Amino acid sequence: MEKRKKVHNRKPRICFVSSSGGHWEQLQKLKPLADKYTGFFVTEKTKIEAPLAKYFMLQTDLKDKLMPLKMLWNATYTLFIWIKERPDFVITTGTMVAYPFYLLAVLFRKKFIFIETFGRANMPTVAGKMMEKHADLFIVQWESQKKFYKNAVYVGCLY
Amino acid sequence: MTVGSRKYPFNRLFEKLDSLYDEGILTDKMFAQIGTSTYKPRNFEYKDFISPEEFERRINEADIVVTHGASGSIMKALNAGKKVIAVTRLKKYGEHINDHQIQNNEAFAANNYVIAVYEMEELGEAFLKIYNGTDNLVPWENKDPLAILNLIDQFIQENWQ
Repeated sequence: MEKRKKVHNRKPRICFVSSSGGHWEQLQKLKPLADKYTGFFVTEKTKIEAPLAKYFMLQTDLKDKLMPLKMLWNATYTLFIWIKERPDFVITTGTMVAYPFYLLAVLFRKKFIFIETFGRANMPTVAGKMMEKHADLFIVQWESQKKFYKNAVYVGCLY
Repeated sequence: MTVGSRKYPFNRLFEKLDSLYDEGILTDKMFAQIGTSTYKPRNFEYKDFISPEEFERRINEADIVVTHGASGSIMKALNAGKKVIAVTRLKKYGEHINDHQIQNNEAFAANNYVIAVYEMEELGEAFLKIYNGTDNLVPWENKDPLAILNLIDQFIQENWQ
């Protein structure tokens, strides 16, 4: 007898996470999904207000000398957020700030959705390459970017 | 004019804009959000950071938007129907961590959505092309801005129930 598929009696909890700037701009286009389901937003703390965000990470990137320390803090904070929110899906537009969420999604077998930034048309990103392997859905926003990823899907762009 | 929220200055651009006013190439009023740039413009109004509301108002008021190579800024201007000059932040000047904005601007420019500028010598020419109508820019159109949202929604439904 086929095991009956579990039917949930609640809406899925969705974590939306990205770094600041254009990544955050694009992530916010998904707000209707956060409203339809149970969603919360995470982004980096910058001087520009982000009223939609519930949690703020330390801003950092690949060239930041303090990145290892900041990412250690961010990873610890991510664990706290994960325990508190217990997301069922993680959606990100990149970049490094999303990596701890990616690891936790893999560890706890939650679905992970990566949207490649619109700002790249003809090359992959470091973040995309790092999170491609275990992404359950990998979306690019230019047809020309599909060739850099094994399972990329192109259906349009967020803007 | 905007250069985004991250911690990389873009002094090269604002210095050139001031020069273009000095040379008489630029005469119209301009407002700039200079971000973390340390150069203080002389010939036009500026603020370090502005709110998203003011950002939108400034873009709507503009005829020409000069922006750095980040897609968010470019798309706000394109969706508002403005002529866009996209000036690329370059790693060699300490303006970004890598040269991905070159890729970004090339994609937009190849489709004639923006005029891409990489070295400041090109900036005056970009303005002149728009002023004399030889810019060849085409309007941006997104045929289905909800395509990605709908794809994810479908994915969630297939994996939740």
